[in-house]
Amino acid sequence: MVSFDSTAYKAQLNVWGKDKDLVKKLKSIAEKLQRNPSSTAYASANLMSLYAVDPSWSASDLASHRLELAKVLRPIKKPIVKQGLEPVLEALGKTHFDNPSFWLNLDSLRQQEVAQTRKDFVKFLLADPSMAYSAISRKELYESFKAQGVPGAEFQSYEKELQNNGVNIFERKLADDAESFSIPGGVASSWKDARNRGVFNSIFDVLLLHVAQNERRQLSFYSNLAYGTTAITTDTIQKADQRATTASDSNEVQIAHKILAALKNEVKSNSELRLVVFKIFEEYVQKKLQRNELGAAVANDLVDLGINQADANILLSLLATTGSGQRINGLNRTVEHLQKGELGSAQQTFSSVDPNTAEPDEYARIEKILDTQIEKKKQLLEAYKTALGAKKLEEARQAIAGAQRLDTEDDSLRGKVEAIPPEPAGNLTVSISANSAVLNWAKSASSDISYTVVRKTGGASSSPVDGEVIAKNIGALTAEDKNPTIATTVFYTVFAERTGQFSEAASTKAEAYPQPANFTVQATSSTSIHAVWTVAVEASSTTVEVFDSRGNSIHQVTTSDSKLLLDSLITGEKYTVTLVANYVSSSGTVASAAIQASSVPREKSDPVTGVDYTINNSEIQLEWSSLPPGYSTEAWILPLHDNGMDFGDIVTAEQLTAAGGRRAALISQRESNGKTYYTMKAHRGILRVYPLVLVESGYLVGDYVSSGVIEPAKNVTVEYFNNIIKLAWEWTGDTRQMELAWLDSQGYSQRELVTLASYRRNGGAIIQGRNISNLTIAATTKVDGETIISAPASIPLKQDNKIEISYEQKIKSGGLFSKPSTSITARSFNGYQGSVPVSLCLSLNPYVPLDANSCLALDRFALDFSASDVATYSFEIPKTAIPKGTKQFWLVLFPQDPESVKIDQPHTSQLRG
Amino acid sequence: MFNLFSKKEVPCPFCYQTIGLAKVAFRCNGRGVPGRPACQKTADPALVANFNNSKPYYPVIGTQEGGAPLLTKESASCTQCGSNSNIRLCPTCHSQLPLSFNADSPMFGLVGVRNSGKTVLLSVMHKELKDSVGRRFNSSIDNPGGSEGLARELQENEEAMLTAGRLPEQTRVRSGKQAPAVYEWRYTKSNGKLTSSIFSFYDNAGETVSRVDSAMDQAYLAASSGVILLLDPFSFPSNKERGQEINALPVGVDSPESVLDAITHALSHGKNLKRGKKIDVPIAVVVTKIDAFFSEMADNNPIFTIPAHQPVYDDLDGQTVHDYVASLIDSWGGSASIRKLNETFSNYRFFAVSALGEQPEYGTDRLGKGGVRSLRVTDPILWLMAERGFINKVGK
Repeated sequence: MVSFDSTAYKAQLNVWGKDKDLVKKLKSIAEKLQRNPSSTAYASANLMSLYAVDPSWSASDLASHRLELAKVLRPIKKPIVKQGLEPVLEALGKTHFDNPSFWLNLDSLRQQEVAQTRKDFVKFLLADPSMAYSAISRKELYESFKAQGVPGAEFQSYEKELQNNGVNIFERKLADDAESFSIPGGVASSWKDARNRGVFNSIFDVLLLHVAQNERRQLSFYSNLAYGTTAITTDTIQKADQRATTASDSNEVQIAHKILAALKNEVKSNSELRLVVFKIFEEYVQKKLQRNELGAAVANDLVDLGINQADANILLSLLATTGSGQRINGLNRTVEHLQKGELGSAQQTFSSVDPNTAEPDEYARIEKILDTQIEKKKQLLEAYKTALGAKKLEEARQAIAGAQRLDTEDDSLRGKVEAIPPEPAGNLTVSISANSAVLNWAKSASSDISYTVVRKTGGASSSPVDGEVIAKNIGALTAEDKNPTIATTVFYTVFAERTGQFSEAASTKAEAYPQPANFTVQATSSTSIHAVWTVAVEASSTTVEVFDSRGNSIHQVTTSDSKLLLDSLITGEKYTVTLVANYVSSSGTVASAAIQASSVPREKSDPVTGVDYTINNSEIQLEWSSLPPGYSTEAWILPLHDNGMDFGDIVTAEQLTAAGGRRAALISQRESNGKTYYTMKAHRGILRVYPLVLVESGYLVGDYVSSGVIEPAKNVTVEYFNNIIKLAWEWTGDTRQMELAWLDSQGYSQRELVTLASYRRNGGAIIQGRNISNLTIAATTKVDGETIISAPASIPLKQDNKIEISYEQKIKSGGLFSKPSTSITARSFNGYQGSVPVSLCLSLNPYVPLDANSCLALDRFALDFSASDVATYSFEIPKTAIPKGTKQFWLVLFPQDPESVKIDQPHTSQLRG
Repeated sequence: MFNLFSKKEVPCPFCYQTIGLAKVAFRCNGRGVPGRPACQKTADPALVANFNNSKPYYPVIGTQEGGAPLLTKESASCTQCGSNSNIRLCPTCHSQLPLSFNADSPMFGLVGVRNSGKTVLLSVMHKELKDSVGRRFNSSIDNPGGSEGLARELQENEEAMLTAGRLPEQTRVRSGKQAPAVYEWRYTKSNGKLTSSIFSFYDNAGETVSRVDSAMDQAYLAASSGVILLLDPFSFPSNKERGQEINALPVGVDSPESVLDAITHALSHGKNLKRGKKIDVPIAVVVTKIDAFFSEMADNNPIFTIPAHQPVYDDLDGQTVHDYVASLIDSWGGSASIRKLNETFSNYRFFAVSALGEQPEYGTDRLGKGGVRSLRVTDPILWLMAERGFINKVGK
């Protein structure tokens, strides 16, 4: 017998009756069961509890319980009974209710039902615009649950379902706290300054100044303030600030230092620091949203700044739902699809957006973008078809690849791209010699191409395996055949390949008729030259022709030999020998291209010796013993250091240039009395000059001279100190010493050699005394034991025509019956005889007066030097001039006319009273 | 004779920690006694920790088995190889103490804000000390134990300025200390007796003195027997705008008053000064980069007088320059700094120096075409040495 407390059950009915949602649900179940008895809609309600059923009951227990229930329910008129429990009980009937397995299965069915309901609800929630950023505060979520009738016990399972769908559920506390929080003044102004200057991407760049750029990842400020798993705290500010003080000084570092100092002073806790960072990002996002930027784009910006996606979404969800940046979910997703190249999905998503609820401008804008993309894809497909028809394969490929980029989801496009073969190699050329045939072709517009080169006689290859493969799958745009067939026509064919697809053939025909090789012509005496060469074994003969210096042919012969001696020639005349190799081919005799070489019949020359030179500012004249007839010389200028060229060496122009050499600028050359006189332009600096003999194989090295014009001192500056003149200049070239010359105050000539070392030691050159004249400077240097000196350059000296006097002063303190006084003994310089108007000035300031304007003139008088170079003066200082209690005063003599008189002041101990 | 009043404790010229001269550490000389294996050179952890110097050295006697250094006065026998060594070391940083190092060896601190020209001045001073000052006083002024740490850096800076014509790089704050530039000045007195003095300089990055808390960290200030304080003339109110125009003054440079405050704070704490007492450490207040103002000064301004090359310090000349520099500072709006010095220091003197002789190109850090042409750079150190009585003073 089952136990059923009907009184308690009736009391429970009162509780259930108040739950209008439950009444509605039961009513809905009853209707569904009535329409379809096999419906499992009943699983959405907890029938076991509603009908007080124990799942362990037998069929008879259940049957008796059903009857008992019906009895209890019948007299009750409440909607929960009349619209819910009774109709459902009836619809379940005996079949379900009395069946123990029905109740056993009900639980799992119910779980499924609840799960489905949850999923539906989550789907519904996700479609809400407020979920555009897949983030919602727990507070708002629970309010939504309540509004939608989700039972409180199921909040957590619903929350989990949302999280499984990628929704970030966060606490609002930080955002709420931030509402009443303001960024402290110093931080706000220094950050504003940094932002205006565009120095930092985000505040994290400042906080993490001490952290390497590549470690500033996964930045977060909402759930916690951190980078990666490392928390950012007030200690972090200290570390960053330490870095700011050690980093190389720059504007960025200075600005960071200011921000960090403000943070250190004004932010006292980690939670306050988190609020500061949050507020900074809040302002950043709000500004962007106010500029009508798309929320998704703003979130992407945050992620680009290194902020983790969750925090970016949280911030956007907070601001976009409360601020002006709200966007329709579907529009955002459409844009996202377009950005990912998912044209199909974008179309589908856009079609699901209700234009009546979407922001009209935004809807129109995105619709236009979508239409443009669709049109663009269409045009690209058209272009592909046209190009393919015209066999413009690369163009077709570019078009279809472009369409593929627009719509990555369209699988048919991928197949089309792969099916297009590469274009054949363009501009194929071949250059052929006895030992090599070199093929070149143009670069393909496509980068993923390799090439196979095939050689064949009798006709072009039709496929990459038709003929002898010269190169296979090469990326280069050139190939070499090292065994070309001589005197036979061969075909070279190039096939381009991309992922197994070969292009059409590109072929060229080549016939190898190599020139003679190893060709030299040398003088064997003052009237003969000897030519030697080799030809390919396939050559039948060689045609030799000799020309004189005017281009007249003086000899021609066809020979099977490989050498020729020519004599009875004119000494010193230049002869040019031309060779052509002859081949017999199927089309007759074919001549190779010509090759030529020259020589001058002459005796063997020795290198130039006994070189001497004279120099003036603009020219150098070299002289040496004349060479045998038929030789010419060329002067080359090389640096002073060892260049590896020894007497008797033969060098080429390239070697000379590589050694830093250059041809001298020849002005004139003449022969006289067995001597060659060679005049060339003088060069700056001391360098080696080599007169080189031109021989067949290059230049014959002989003696050289070191010469040139030494660089004078540059940027000479003169500084006048009280008792000395200091000279400074820029040292140039190889100059290591300078010669200074001047006339001293007595008119005696003085000279001083200043080495670079002494210049550095003394910080310039020092000349004692100031009354000097005719100062000159000349650079000197010693090369190969010889001293070379530049022309002395005059150094202008300041014309100081001022009358110069000095003085000594004794100040006496006043006594009870005497006034303070001063006595001055002045001395004139340079024999000045006359009077000098001066002022005796008094200053009560703590600091010595630097000119007459900063003190009071007590007396104006003239120092008289007419009879002697010493003048004296005494003065009683009125007591009224120095107030009582004055601890110190200054008495200084200044000229009345500073433009014409200079007074050297004594030590300040004589000026202080 | 035993001097009852001589100091027994003195700051190490390298790490500035106080050491008792009767209890110094010793480094093994590596010779060993017959029958026992000689000690091997390894990196000295104290040198590594203090100065990032990881060169191998013979061990500090007593530390071979992980123990503490054996501390004694004249010499010590190596506990491992048995050799007798008189190579004295600072027990803290293990730097080798120069032979003439004694309780009277002065320590001079060189301080100045960022960009005041410390490194350039020190580099030129390094050259002048070894060269012109050495010749003028017929002395040998050298870095005992060779050029290491700052001394080596100064040597390199000198090379860079003289041969490559460029300014030294700006000094950075270091995580570990850099060995200071230690100098040994030796000369023979007129009575034929050899006398010597050890003094050392530390080049700090300017930013560490511009704030009070950082200046406190500078142990060397507390240990200093004299301070050379560098002031950038462009940091005075009347010259700021001009300094910024020619890129000579970076944004945010501290005022001379704030630097003085920081130094005052550090010195009064370091020396445990009582309230109301003036600091008696001599302070040479040096206006650097005076060449930038040459054109505004009269030809016969005493600053332009080249001191006579006599082996004495001319105090009359020094006092005159002091008065003229004070007047210049006043004209630049810096009288507050002078008053602050008056109130705080019982012995200070102004100097005006030019390390380079003309303004470099501040943007490119290139020197002028004429190279280094210093003016009066050694005046401050000579004054400090004269104040200690190491060199003679005339004209008082």
